[in-house]
Amino acid sequence: MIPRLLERIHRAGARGDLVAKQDETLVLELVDGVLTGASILRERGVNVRVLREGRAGIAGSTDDDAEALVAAALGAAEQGPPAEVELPETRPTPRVLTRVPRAAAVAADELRFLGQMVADRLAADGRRVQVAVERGVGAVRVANSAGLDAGYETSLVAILAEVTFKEGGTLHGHVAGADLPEGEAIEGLVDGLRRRLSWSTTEAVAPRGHLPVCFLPNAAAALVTPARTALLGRSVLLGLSPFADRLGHRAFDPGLTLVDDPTLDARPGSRPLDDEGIPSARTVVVESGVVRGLLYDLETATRAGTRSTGHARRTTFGKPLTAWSNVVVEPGPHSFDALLAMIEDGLLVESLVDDAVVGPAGGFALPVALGWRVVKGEVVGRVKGAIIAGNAFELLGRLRGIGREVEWRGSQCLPAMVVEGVAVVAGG
Amino acid sequence: MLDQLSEALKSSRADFTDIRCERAWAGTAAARGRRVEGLTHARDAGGVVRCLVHGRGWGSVSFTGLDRLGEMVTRAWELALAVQADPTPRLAAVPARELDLAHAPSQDPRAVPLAERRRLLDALVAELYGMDRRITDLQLAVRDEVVERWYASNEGSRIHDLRSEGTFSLVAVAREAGLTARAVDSLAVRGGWDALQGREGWARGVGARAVALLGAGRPRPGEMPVVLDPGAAGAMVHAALAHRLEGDGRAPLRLGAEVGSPLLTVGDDPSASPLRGTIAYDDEGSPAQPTVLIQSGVVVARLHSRQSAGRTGEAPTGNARAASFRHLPAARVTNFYIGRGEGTRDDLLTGIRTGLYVSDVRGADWDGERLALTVGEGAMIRDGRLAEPVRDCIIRGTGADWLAGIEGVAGDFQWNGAASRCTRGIDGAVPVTDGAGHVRIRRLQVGGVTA
Repeated sequence: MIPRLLERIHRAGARGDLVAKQDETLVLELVDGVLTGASILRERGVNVRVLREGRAGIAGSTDDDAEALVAAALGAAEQGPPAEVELPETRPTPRVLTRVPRAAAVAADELRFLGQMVADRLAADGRRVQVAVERGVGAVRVANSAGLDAGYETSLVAILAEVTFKEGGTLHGHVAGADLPEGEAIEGLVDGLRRRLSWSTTEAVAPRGHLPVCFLPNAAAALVTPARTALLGRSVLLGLSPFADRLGHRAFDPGLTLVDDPTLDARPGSRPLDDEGIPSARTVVVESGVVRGLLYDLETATRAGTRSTGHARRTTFGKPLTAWSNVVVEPGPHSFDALLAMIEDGLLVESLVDDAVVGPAGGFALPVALGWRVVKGEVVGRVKGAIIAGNAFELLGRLRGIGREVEWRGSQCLPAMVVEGVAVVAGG
Repeated sequence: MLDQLSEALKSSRADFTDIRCERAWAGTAAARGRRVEGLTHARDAGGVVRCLVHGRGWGSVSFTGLDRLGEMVTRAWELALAVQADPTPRLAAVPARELDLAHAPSQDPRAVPLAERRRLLDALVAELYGMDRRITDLQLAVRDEVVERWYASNEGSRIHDLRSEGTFSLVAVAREAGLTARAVDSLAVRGGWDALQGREGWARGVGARAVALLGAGRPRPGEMPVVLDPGAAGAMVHAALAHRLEGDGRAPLRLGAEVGSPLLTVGDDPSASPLRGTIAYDDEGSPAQPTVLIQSGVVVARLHSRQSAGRTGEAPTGNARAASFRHLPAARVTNFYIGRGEGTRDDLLTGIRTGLYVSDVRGADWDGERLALTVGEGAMIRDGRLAEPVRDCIIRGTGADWLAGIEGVAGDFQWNGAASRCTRGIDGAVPVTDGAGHVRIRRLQVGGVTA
């Protein structure tokens, strides 16, 4: 279909590019170790961008009608925005492991066994353990009118565990990668959940005031997310980023180094090229608190007068967007116990309610979904009803300590971090 | 198409099999400031097969493309054979039906050139910038969608439906003398291309709200009575109760539970016409019906799919909804409301010395015990009257503070016209409408400044 689409675009006197993605994912759901549901999701689609007479039009489709797809994109280009894109030619791409044959071929029974193993290790009276095991196999192909035609194959195995415990709370943990998870990764998942469960058997009163808070990797991601958005070239172009004039300047705590790395092997965000055909490369975005660069796709790079950093992501529908691939916050020097020891009286936070609502300006005030009080470096019990508030950018500017152990959460690799002076409002 | 579904069903060896297929067309035009960000066109086609095998459980396959239905039925059956659910899921019985509910919209958006979306967008952008020099930025998206659906089961149901809808979403930004304020809104309209026309008044209204907010301060933190406008009251009751009244939710309320004041009536009405959540039949082929869920503060019914009804022994309510063919149906709300009360907004304001009036909610977070409402716009209530405008604060309290604390529901019921969606984990987002009149709540904690 791809040569046919490019031929149709050429015949219309236009140029263009496209990404074709397909994926088949098997999902096994286990409740307390018993397989309660099995499903397959098959997805195949093409996203086309045509450039004609200085304008761009986008169309996407999950059916195989090449004529209709190109006609729709040409129709969109008639009144579309200016075409600010220079299509890249073929260039060498790095070697990145995105499919592992043994994971792509693993039998459903083996996946079920993996899920049961996790469920058995977490089982206890008064707990409900739900585990989903997913195995996806896919392919991505990127092509354009400048002669580029490249692609890669993917596999992804994920184990997602949810534990509902009798004291009234829910914990989530997951591992994901292109290969079957190693024993160490599964141990890490189980041990992490068990440790959090052991903290949750007693309740404590939430403290109040401006206090030190240790954000576990899952909650740290909520702090980092608005910074990731603000560090996209698009946010700067739209006037939404406080970092527009901070390139080369310190904007965060000197302990913070933030990297985007699609070239890591076998991670969920790994890929040899982006969805516009730009070869992947490791990009240091924040180094020791100093903003070193922004992330661009073709359109935003042209508008900003720079080059794409290879961060276009395209789904079947809609226009290409700039997106991080594998997000890596570099670990610090401290053990977890040393991080807790930094807290005389404060909080340890696993998750916030609706952390997706932290706005582009970084301001937030969100209830703590799961968190614990820490007194003199010891976890003393679970707190309910606390709200933490502040500005994510400011909080990332006053880190008391960063952990040396990291956890992968999907395509994000994060350590725990202790932040000074977070506003904690007791609820109830 | 229905015949293709019926043909594929013949190959099923499962005890129950159903197939739901969709074909969707969508056009989108988006602007940021005066710049057109993009014109895009989308065609989506696919389906989902579910097989239930007694003594085993559910297997399902969702897929793009509509040309290999028989193969998908076989694969779903094979998956069901591997399952060992205990007890085996049971489906509550509903009569099989054969229905064609597909009515072509008066002006089919699929026949309208994409360029027309650009003209519609340009006109609204010009309207906003022309209305007040203090409007300095905006984000606007116009989207129209036609979805045709076919459903068939091996019990004999065959349903064909077609739905056409447009949505607008707008962020208007006003600036003056170093101050910035933004108003956020969306609008959903059922119908064809003609239904999207003439929406300049709505856009101007959002722009005017942004300008009015320039002078707004933030309320002083403290405990005070709160009056919610109909939109805010709908958002509140949705966040506090919707998922807890879904029969297959994480922690459904039990029948007979006292959850609110005697003034609180809550229901779900898929027949209210024609709203985002309005459906005639659900995604399992059950007839959708109005259900009163809470009467005088007490839970009297819950929303059900055939599966959740089969598990609990309650009756199916026709609320099995799927976000798309990529999702399985689950018990979800449609048009969710607080029942009509008596009197006016001003009656509710009467007697309040100092309180907060809320006219825009930007977020509502229920953590299982407490509800926090993020307020975008409102006004102080002073001596029974609306006083100075306020913005950006948080109201919070326990479920009881909010629901048992209701001491007035006005008779000015209205459905919210926003393009609302209700999201529930992997079940995805379904289009919904919330409805309410003004609601007064005795005492809530106001504070938590946001930015």
